[in-house]
Amino acid sequence: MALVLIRLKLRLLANGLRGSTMRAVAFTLGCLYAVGLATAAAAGFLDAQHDVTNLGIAVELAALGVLLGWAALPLVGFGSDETLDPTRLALLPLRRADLMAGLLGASLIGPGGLATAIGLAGASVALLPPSPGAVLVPLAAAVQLALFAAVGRAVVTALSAALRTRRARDLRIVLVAVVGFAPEALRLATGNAPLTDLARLAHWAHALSWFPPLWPARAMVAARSSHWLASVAELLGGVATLVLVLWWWSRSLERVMTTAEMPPDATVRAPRGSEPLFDPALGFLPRTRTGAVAARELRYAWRDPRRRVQVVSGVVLPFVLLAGALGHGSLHHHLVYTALIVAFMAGSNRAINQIGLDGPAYWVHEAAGQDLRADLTGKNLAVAVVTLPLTLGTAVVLAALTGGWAELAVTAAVGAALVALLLGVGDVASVLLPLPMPESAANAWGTQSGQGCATGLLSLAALLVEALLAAPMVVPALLVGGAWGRAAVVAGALAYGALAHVLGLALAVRLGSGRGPELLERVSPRQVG
Amino acid sequence: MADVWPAVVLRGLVKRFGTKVAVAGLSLDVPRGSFFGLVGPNGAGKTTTLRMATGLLRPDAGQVWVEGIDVWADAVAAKARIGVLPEDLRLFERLTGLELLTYHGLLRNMSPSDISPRAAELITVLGLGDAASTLVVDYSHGMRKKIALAAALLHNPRVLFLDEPFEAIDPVSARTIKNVLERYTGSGATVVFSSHVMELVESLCDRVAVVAGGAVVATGTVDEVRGTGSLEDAFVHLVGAGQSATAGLGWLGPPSA
Repeated sequence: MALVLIRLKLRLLANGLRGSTMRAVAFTLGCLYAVGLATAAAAGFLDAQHDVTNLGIAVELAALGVLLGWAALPLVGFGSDETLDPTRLALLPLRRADLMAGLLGASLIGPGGLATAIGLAGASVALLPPSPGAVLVPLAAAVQLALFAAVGRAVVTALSAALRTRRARDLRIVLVAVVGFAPEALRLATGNAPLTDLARLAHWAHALSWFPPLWPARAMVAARSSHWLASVAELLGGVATLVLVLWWWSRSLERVMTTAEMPPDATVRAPRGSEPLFDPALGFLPRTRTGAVAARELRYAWRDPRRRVQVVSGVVLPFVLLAGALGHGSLHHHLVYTALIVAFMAGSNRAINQIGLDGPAYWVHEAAGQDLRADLTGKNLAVAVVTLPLTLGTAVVLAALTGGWAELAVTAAVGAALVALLLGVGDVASVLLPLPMPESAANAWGTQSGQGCATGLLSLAALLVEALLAAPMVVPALLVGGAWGRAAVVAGALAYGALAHVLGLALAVRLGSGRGPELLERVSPRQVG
Repeated sequence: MADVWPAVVLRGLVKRFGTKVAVAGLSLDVPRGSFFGLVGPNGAGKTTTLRMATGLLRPDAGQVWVEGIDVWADAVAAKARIGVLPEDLRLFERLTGLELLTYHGLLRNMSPSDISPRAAELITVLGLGDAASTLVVDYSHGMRKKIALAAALLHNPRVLFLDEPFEAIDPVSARTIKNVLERYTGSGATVVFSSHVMELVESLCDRVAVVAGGAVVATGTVDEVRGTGSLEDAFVHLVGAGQSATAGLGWLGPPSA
């Protein structure tokens, strides 16, 4: 029975790849990458065979990293098999043991399992002690492999049991995105502190490897140093942990397969004013198509988890950058100009795929009669409403901190012009290259193998164009001094930005008019098999 | 003599998706004020036809007139007279029911003073009063259909196109929708809807067209198409599904003693 599930996984994998060459290529590359990484690690272990202490540290750290990978990557959507979702198997008369064995085996199939197996094999060979205790190491490696898979499955199942309401799922999308940011944010904030001191790592490695699922790895290391008793104890402890994890997984499976999804909690929004859509905070918007689009976009910025992620990334990351810059440099007047980076980053990513973000619901705009000018203006308005105050606020704070009040006027003007320019370029990009946002709510980054490449390339190309177009405005702002020079820059920038925006919008409307059905087709995601 | 131009005229519509021909030269007339049913098996091209008729999918060939206006030559004017309820119900879900209706109204440049009373009435009539302040993403399937129908009716279109409006709908919601549609056609407007459910088509429609393989194989009043048998028999016969083989399956049933 377990074999049947494994064969099912293999067949699903093969069929999934058959759908598109892009996906097959991405999968192969992913496999090669994972196997390559694992082989490099194994080779590294073998190389360090005689340096027992450092090898031990390396193996323990690697085990920790791999454990985190097994636990966390399925949550982000990499390697998570919705196809082996236990709720799909709930109706079959499967014995729990069969089901678990099958799911466990199936989870080992794929680039992750293969890579882990290769890494463990390399570590085993490297850690093989010269005396009769040699059997401990492969045993421990096997138990460790089983533990990795079991922890992975248990975490995913426990979480899917917890994510029964729509709100919890929305929250997960946002949290995953935030967690995805954390390392990058940390790095920017701490400024690349080098972690090359292995001795310091040793301290961390030993502390963290007390975590029970890592005991088999410790057992392997202890065996190499001929600490037989410790090794056997840790191995037995590892087996006990495996049993515990399997028991926990079994209980989560029970819950997932037999409890119903909770009925949607009615998020009742009390009607606070007489005007739906515009009340309470959006009363300043005109009651026209443009205003309606702007109001919806602004409400979506908070209510839709994917857009919330975009807003978070657009808003938080520049601040992290700022914190880093402030922490390291002296408080020079010119720091006020870094508010421009905030404008650039917050504005750019929200301007590029404006129609794609609507997704298949864009048919509503098309069925009401295409009015690209009103729609794009509304979307631009929504982006401006968030980005302009943010930029200005940052500039003011920086000016207060650094005393660069003279630079404030220039920054404010150039910032506003920059946002206008970004929106103009974004409008053209949105109409020329609309990209569908995939439906999978599990993956906040909205990437699906080949899709991710396309989005990445588009963002990169757009950034280049934007930087080129912004240069004539930003460079003089940074270089010029003196009251007259600054006044000239302010006037020039405002004119330039306004012109760029008007031209961009006009071009976008010209390109998109009459092509509504084609746009709709492009932004409705293809059937992802 | 009153102008009896049909409400909807389709002539020679063709649509190919790659090598597959979804609609192969479909022509149809829908008389004004009729409750018109479009029936056909899966893959017959009903959804594709409806999307081409409402300006959401560009035909490879052919023409569409709604209330005398060429939909593809003068899209904005035609769409002002059309209401659509598509099959896949992709709405802006992160809005409440009332916000969604307001949004649809403003997109059509209706004035807020028109939208508010109409939206409130539609919500009441369709039984969505409790859910008007809830996000559409939390609606059940039946509620989604109803709010989408409300959005399609808000601007008082002359022709309403519905794609499988009763699919997976509970009988109570279906009854409510039926009542609203009957009131609507009673006022002189036209409804075109596609369905698989023959009993529904028989009970609601006065005219029907049978579509198979991307073309119309029969059209007329329900009685004309039905002939002497039931509509379902006529449909199955027209679509060319013969007697299904009932040989085999001997193992099906309780084990013999």
